[in-house]
Amino acid sequence: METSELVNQPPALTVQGLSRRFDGTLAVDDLSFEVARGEILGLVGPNGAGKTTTLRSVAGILPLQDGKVAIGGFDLVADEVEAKKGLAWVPDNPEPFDSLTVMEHLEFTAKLYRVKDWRPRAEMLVDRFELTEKTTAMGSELSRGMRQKLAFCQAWLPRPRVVLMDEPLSGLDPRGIRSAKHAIRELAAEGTAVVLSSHLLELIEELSARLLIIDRGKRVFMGTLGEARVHLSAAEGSSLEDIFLAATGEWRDPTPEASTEAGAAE
Amino acid sequence: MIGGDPALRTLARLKFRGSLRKTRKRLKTFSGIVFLLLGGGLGAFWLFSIYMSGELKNESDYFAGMSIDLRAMMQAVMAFFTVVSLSSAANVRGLYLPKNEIETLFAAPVSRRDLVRYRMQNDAWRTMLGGLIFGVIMMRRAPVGLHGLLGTLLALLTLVVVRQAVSLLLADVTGRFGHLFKPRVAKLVAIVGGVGIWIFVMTLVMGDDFLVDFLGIEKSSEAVGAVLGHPIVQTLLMPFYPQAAMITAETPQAFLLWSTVCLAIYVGLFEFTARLPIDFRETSLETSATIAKKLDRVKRGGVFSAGTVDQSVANKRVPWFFGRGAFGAVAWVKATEIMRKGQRGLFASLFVVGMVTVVISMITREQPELASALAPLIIAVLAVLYLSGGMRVDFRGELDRMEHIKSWPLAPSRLFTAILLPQVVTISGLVALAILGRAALLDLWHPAIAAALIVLPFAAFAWMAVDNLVFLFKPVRFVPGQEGTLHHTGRALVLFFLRMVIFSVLMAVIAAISFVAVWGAEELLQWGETAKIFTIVAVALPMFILADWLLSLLGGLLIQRFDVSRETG
Repeated sequence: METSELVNQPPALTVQGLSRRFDGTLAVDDLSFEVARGEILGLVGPNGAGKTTTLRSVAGILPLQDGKVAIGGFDLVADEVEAKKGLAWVPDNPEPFDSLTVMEHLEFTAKLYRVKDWRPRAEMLVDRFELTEKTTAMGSELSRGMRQKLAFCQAWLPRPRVVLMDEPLSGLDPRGIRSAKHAIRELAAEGTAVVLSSHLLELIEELSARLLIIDRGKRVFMGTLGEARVHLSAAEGSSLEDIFLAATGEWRDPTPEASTEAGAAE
Repeated sequence: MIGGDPALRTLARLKFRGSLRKTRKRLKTFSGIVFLLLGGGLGAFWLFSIYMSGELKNESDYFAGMSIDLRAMMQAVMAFFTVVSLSSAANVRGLYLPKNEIETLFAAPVSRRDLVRYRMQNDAWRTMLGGLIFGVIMMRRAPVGLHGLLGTLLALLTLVVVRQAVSLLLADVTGRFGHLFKPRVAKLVAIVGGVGIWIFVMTLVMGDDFLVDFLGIEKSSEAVGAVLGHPIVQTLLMPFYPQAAMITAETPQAFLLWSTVCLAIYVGLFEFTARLPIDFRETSLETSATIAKKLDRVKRGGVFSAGTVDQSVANKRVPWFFGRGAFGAVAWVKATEIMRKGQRGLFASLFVVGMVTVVISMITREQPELASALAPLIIAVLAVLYLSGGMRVDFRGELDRMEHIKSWPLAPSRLFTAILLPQVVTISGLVALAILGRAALLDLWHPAIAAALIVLPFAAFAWMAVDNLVFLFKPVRFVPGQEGTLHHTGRALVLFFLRMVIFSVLMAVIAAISFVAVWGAEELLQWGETAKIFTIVAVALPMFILADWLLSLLGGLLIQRFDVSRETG
């Protein structure tokens, strides 16, 4: 199926009016967005913008206080289990079970998401993410990068409708990063909606068709990179970093040379 | 229903298989086999000694001599355990899941009911193991041992379910009404409860001797019997009647009847708890994070480090007690740690030292010579041993920082001393306070006290240096409840003996040389007792200083050869 066809289908993920408070502080403020099947949405924002809180709320880890979330048409509150069957969550620092081997993690995941005849796909994924030599290693024995790769295998195994990824490339070596990028693209091509939160703006720029910029819990911009340039009055050819900085507040060069130059210009 | 989600059952099965795999892995080395055998042997010996304590004292009909209805007594015991257990529920609100499981399971397509069932099933297995100790105690006290054992296990399982229900309800209340329950109240209940459980267990293990010898309570059974016989108390204890009747059942028929009733209650409560319409996710995430941090602090600094430091304490500046140089800076960091945790840690330490002092004084009260001359030494030895194990503001707290520490511009031996010095000074100060306080209160002054106080900091340093040398040689930290308890217990036993052997050899050498010197001088000069004691101190003190210096050098060598990439789990 072509990516354009997939995007034209009903959204795989719908978020409407999501708000989240922690002890009176509004971490996410009336956030709404949709992600179509096969689409990769880049979620960016400064530290403390509410990206992880948004993803954790959509994943059902945090209870919904305000707003609605639907995954594959299933409401996250009314049909929680059905909604979660179509969702995979890759946290920023995956913590596997200490005493389970890599293959046992996949066995558990298959059971959890009712994946029949899971072993061939699991073996393919283990090979794909270069964990073949680690299939009998226990969770406590895995390095940060390997834990990340295992989290990918677990997320990929049930062919979910939606994958939420929080800083998915941290801890990976250059080879792992390249492999992960390919895998994310392929997953989207198979029809999975991907929400990708990262501070690596090049990654978002490279993979995402659209981006959602949030700041202090509020949606600042949502659209394609081209729309962002128009919307945020950025110059043609400006990078996502320029757009990000324009959207989330003006950036000032702190070096004395810069301020001297600025003074001279004035 | 009670079985729960198949995926979670698979997870439990895989985790169990994983723990067996880890055990097998540990058994691949000779030391692993020895540690496991030692740990297992120690556990078995402990259970056996609890079982036999009743046998040796001929107390199989322990309650028979008392004017208390056995069933009423059991009801009271169950009520007490329930109150203590529920007070702990305030610290574990919601559904506790370990930090590395909680996000995976909350995002997984399983219902919250099944998550509660999964947790309670896990708890049931743990309770069966932990409850074995109480079961064995009750086995000797109940009219029929087997009924006592099985009944106690089932009663404890029910208690776990009740506690889970209360944790969930508290999560709901917290979510709706904020933190209504003050943690301090819960802690107070836990402390009182802990002391109560200690007295209860000691009484069951030691019999009436404990009440008479240590608490001075005689004829307590009559007073307890009167209280338990009161109609209001009887009404309050009614919910515990089936469990008490099960544990104290005298015939198989009665046990069958009451155990069926208790099993039905257990299953009913289990399903009721699982089906409570409470969204516990937010509180559970908070609880899981709090407990993970607490376990990490305990792992780094022992049980006294479990609490957090209040901001008001953190705002107070700690003086540089040990100079302004690099040595002073390192010691200052450790001193700050002690002073800031002092709100809880020092109070607890003072309490422990006080308890040691009281117990030693009671034991030696009949022998004046022992009480005045030897008791201060015994107090010093026991208190230093206990406090250095509990307070641990030493290299155990620095294990994750060793890479950084090794780069500090300070000679390794001085670094070793600087890290230990604040703890040595604090513990020596506390012990000196206890010894002087006791002497003043009981008016038991003896030259041995002055001698003990002079040698104390140097001996304390020697012990803590040996303790840390062994730790740096084999750096392993363990938190109670962690996997591989038997293996770790065995290893801890071996390492403790290693420390004791090294320290004892050191002490024996110093003592032998000191006594030979005194003996030689006495032959010549015919001294009195005070002169003898201070001669020992005069000979021993330089040797202690020499030993401390040598241990510091050794500590420095071990810091240098410390491999930061080694497994420290």
